[in-house]
Amino acid sequence: MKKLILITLIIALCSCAFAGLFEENQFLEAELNLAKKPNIYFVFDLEKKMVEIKVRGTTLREFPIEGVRLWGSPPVVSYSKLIKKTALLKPKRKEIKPKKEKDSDEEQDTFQIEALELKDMPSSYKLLFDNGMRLLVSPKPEGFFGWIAHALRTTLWYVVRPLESAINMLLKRPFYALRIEVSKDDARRIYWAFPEGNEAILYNP
Amino acid sequence: MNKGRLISILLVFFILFMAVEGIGYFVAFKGSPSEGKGKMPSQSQLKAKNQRLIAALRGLSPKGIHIVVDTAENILLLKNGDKVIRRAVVSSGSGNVLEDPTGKRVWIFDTPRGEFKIESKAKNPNWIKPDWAFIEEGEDIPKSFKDRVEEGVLGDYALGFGKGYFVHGTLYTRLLGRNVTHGCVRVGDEDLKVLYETVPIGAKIYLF
Repeated sequence: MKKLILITLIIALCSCAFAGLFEENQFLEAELNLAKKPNIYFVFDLEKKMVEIKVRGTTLREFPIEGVRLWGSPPVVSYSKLIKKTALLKPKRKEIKPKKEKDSDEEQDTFQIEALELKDMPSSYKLLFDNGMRLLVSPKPEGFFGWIAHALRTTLWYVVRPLESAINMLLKRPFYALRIEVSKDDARRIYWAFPEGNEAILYNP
Repeated sequence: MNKGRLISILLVFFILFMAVEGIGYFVAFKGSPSEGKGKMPSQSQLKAKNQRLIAALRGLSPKGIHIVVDTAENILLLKNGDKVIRRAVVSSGSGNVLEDPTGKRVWIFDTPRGEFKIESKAKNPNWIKPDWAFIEEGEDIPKSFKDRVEEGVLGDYALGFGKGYFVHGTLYTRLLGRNVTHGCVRVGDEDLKVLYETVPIGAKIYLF
């Protein structure tokens, strides 16, 4: 009996190790594909609970993931392109009005910065990828209103996701969603650094 | 409409809604997609393959002197391999938009993202003002080249990284740390001198 338990345990450990190697292999293959290009790419690593901004296989910056929620069955490694960023309060670029005449010195002293900066970025938004993945980024709830917003987002998650699943099934499109919580500032940094058209890897071992 | 009929209609809608929700739940969690239908390699083969992939990724990573610019935080890192040699507060693109009054051209003043390389280095550089600089100032675009040349606005040095973008100095040091440029990376005098002296032509610059 003891032998049987031991053999079963060894088989289980071997298959776990093999599965781990296979998943790592898929991830490395996907990353090597992206690292060969001169573009910035993102890795959403659910094992390390980290969002990484990378180029050429090197991490430029990383942000800890404070919470994860998954909808559907995403593959272990999914490799996709960001096609759209949506947010309730999307930052708008400021349009420069050409000057009518040269500013006086007095006007230059009262110069106001008109620019899109990190503080203008949303902290709650949705990233849509070309493989059907929806990635919702939201800030870790803080304070009374933060928790209210968090409760609303969670309720919406369980109401909207099934509808999206059903619609995408009818349209024969793949669909799965992921919601990550990061700090408010990190959410803004991710929005800033992730332009539409850039690629990302989701690693979900 | 009587009360009973309204309740019936609401009930039908509720049942339909719940049915769709139920289908959505079923579709989402009915099972994982099948993986690896081909012939599976052995454990030792996989280990060796992964080691090769890790080595290939390491081979791509930046080596030697290179620059990393975080445009969100307006921070520039001068690096030698993994080691940070110098950290500088910079100014990068404002993200503003300028339209040519004729409506034919639009400029978006973002700092480009990705991997570039230092293509040129210049001491006491002149600024060759592009069309947008005249349009922004409400001036006519000059026909002669010499009317585009402006001295002293780019600081003591400039490092070009392609498509008209430079790492250069600034007269507006109080704006370092803010997103105020037309896409170039502005650096303070001391940091710029170090960059000019340390970074060779051909070195990589990574902007994100």
